[in-house]
Amino acid sequence: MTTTATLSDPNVATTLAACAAPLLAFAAIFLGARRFARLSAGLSIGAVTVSLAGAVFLLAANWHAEAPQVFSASWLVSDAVRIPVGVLLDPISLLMMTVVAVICFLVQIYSLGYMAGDPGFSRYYGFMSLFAWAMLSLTLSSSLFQLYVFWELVGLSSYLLIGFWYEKFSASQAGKKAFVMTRAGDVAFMLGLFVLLVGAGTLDVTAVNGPAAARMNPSLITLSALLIFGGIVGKSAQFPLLTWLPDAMEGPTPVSALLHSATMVAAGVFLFARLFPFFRQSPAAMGVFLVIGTVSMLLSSTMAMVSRDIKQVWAYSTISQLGFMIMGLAAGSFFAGVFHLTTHAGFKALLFLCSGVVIHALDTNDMFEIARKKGRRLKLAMICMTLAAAALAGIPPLSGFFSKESILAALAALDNPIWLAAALLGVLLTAYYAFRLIFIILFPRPELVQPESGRGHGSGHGAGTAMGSALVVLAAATLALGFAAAPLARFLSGDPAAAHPGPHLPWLPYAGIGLAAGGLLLAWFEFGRPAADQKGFVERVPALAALFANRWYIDVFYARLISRLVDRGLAWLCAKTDQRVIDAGLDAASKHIIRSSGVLSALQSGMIQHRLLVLFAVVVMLGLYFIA
Amino acid sequence: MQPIVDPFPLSPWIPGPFSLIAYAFAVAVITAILLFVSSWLGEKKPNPEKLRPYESGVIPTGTARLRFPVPFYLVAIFFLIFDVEGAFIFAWAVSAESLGWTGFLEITFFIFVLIVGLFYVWKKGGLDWRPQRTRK
Amino acid sequence: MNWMAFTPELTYVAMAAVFLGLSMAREDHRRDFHTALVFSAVGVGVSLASAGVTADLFAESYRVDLFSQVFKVLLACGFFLVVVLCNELSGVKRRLHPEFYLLLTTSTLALMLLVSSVHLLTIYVSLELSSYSLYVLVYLRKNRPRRESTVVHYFLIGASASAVMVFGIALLYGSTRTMYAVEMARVLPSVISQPAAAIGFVMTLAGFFFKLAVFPFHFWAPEVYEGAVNQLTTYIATASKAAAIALLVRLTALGDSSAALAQVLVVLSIVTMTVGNVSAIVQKDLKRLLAYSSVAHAGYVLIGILSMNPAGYAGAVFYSAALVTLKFTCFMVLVKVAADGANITVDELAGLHKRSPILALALMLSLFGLCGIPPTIGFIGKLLVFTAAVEKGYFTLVLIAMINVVISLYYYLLVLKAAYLTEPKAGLPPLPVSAGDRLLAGTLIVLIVGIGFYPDPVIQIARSAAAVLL
Repeated sequence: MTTTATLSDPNVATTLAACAAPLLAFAAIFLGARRFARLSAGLSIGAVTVSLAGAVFLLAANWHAEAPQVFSASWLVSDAVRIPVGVLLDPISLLMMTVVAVICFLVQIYSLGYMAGDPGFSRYYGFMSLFAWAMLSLTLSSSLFQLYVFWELVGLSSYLLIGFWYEKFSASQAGKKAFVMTRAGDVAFMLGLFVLLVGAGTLDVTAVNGPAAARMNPSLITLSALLIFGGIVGKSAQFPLLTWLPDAMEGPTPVSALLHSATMVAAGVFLFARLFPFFRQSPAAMGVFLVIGTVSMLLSSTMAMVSRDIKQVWAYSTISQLGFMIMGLAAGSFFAGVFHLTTHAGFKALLFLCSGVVIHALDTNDMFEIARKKGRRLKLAMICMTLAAAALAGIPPLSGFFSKESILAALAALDNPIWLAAALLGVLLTAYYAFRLIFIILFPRPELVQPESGRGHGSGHGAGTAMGSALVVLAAATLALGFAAAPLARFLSGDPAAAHPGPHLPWLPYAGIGLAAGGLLLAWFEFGRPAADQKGFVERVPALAALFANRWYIDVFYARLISRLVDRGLAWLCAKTDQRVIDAGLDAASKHIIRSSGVLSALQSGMIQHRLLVLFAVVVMLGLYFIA
Repeated sequence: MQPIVDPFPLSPWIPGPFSLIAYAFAVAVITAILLFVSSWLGEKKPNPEKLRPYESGVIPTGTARLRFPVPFYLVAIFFLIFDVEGAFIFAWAVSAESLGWTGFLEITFFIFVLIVGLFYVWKKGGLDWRPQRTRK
Repeated sequence: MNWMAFTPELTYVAMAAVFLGLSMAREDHRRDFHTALVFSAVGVGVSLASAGVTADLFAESYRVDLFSQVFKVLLACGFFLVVVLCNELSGVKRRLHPEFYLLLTTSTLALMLLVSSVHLLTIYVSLELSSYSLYVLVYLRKNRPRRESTVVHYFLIGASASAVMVFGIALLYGSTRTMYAVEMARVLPSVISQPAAAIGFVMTLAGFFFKLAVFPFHFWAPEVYEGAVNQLTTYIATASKAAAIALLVRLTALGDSSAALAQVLVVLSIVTMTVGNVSAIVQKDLKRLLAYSSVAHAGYVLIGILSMNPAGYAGAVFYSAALVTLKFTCFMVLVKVAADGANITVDELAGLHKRSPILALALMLSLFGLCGIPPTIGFIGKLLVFTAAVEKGYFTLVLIAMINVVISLYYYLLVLKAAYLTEPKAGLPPLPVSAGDRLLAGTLIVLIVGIGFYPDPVIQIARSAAAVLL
């Protein structure tokens, strides 16, 4: 069902141009333009504009395309093994490509204001271009091998951007942590790819989703699905590898908006969607995914309820929303997961960019501090943030409402009602923590508000044109995207009815709205109303608050595990083996080789007679060998 | 290898690697024995007269490692080159008629290359056989 | 007669004639350099232009086909690059520069004739022409004590190899009654089981073993590498090796079906790479070290050749291209570091990364390539050669080769350690690297890594070149 395209095809040519432009910008910035900050930014933004134009063109051109298009070339051929590289254009990759290009473009525009005057301005834009290239290529990869390469490149650019302010110790630590934890998932991912290669004999995406998987042993399918899901868990910061994401907020805020909410962490969910038909072959694996999605969703919601750092709250909410997406996909609704991925990219990027404006203006991440410094005077940012928080909470008619509704509908179709119940609880918690933050900032306790300071902070120093325009565009998207459900469903699965998976339950939307409103009201009661003491119900139970604030002690558990098991157990054993057996053996071997080297080279620098003697003796022996 | 068909019935000998090795070994051993025995049994009464190099009855003077003037070597080389040239030209001359104009052109080219070489040698002072210090 | 097919060779004949003339003219080393540069660039162009030509010339003793043309392009490029390095030819007296270029040209011409020769006598004559040019070239090094001894050693070993080769040709002619390769390919399979034919065949290969420095004909390599002018050593390590590999492939493809022949080559290959790698460890002089590394690489190439399958031949062709690129990069760095034309020891590379980062990077990548670390062109070469051998079932051989690769890692890393980790001696200025040198180094780096990443086109060329032989 795929059509094979050639290089001259306008689709393929556009795709290649869209992918290559950021790479060229990256190369140009690091080869020459680094000294010229404005030139670097211009190159990078120009490149991402090309990508955006390409993505929009491709989406429009293929809106009614019937079959996915594949263009592939051989990268390496060695007799039986053929490793192809290629481009696969199908609804999911086109949609993701457009989302990535749009967010990249907006964030880069926004960064013009946010990063202005930073000494690493050019470096920042160089890394941004690297990321754009890797991420766009990831979405379009036609084989899992290629996808894995770009997956790692995306991880690398994430590491570089988290640790962008590397002179800050915590930033470089956070970069390392993110790198190592996602790597743990990637190891599983790679093993999964090996299992898949052995079982199905191919890593081609269309083949894996289609005929090749049908030939595989069911237990092998489950095994490889679970291992590949390991990569998704790492990249999308799901349970149990979820603690790197909040720390990753050490990077510049636009980076958090781009990588750690809208695009890169969504790559995990994208991979799920990409291999959706394959994963669906294994009901057991889908069950595991559902559990992990639910657990991550609930755990991170609880963590978000007590955090005081606004970026951290949004980070936890990202994990939780990614959990929602995985739940939707694992419940069997391709559309629900991908739709939520799309809407989430919009409103989450908006949330981060608004926070960026606030942080930039007031120089603090703490929400009480922001309230004290009169954060609400930053009008544009606060309006947009409230709008996005409402979308996050699932208040109609914003985009988040529609996508969350379709996930709930998908979960309602399952036999076991517990998943739906968990999701509804999640809706309540989401609304609560989102509006807790909003209310704390909007309605500061009067006695804490700082007296007017004469400094320029405050309303005069809000979003500049660059930053403001990005906010407005994203806010418009948040308002409008929800109504695109039906056309998107037709585009993604060829059937507008897919927008409403599962049985038609008239009460479900009301339940969703009701719970969201309940969460909002609870937040109003505790933080918003004038007489509130701004102390959440969780904080009244110290043990619970401590549990949530310490991220359910997951990090502590890892630290203990690593120090006990790895440092003192395994590492000690390995070190001893290394010293006693391997090093000693190697030392002895190399000593002998070096000694023999001296002897041998002495033998070869003798008199010419001896050399000729050896020469002819060998020839004579060869002759004898043939006679024998 | 093909067995050698032996007309004499007494010695049906087939060559093979073992016999070759045995033969080589025997040669080495016998040579060694002969050399050793002759030096061991022979009378040795060395004196300076006996140890002096034999120069057909003339008493040698100076060191044996004296340097030959290079021109001798050059003469030898030139002789070799032009001698070989001669060999080629004779071979051509014998069948000049049947080789026709092609052959003539080819031998002309051959001689031309040698002449260029000669000119090079001349120009570089290769034909200047005076001793070093009297050269211009 | 199709003169078009012969244009690359004619270009070099013309170049030789011009330099013969220049050698008798007034002394002017800049003029010599520029003339050589122009001519060798034209040579590259002409070889590229005639890359697709096929023809049979000179009573069928000379064949122009894709195989020979690929190697001619390689030789022309190698020669051009060596000439580029001759910008500061301070190891040779200025008045001898025309002779230097003249002999380099005749040697290249001979190698070009060699890769196209399909008659045993043409092969022999071309081989000798190239060897004699090199004997004289080695002698042109100035201020080198005991250079006579180096040349005489080189000459004696070369002459012995030639003698062995001529004897082998005689035996081969005796048993096949033909000197033409095409004929021989037809006759040889039926007579290769006879000792005379098999011995003759191996002895015929001896001439190329000498060129490629395969044990036991490798004794000249360290001394000649050390004794020759740096630029000449570059030439010996690149162009002349490529031609030797070409001929070994062409000849081995004739005696295709002999298991005994393969056995002999297996033994030679193992001994060659082991001797080369182990001896290289203690070398102090960088050129000597690279000489032994060349010996080791000759062993690796033999693995591809002795596999005697299309993949092996294609692998050997690819490997020769990789060797030319990598060895040239090494020597380019060496020539630039040893600006006064002297030999340098490994320790003198100290702090190269500070004195010239781009040269240090080029050196690192080329050494990685020589070790066979991905993603470099050298890795792909080794991969192709080794997989070809494994296909034929030579597991032990490949295992031994792997062990050798590990040993080789040791001395390559010693060089890198000197270049990257050791601090430069105080007072050493940064190396003057001109824009042209930068461009050259950059191009080589891109080639080494680029082909390492995307080797497919080059592999395809190597494969179709090798397919011509079968």
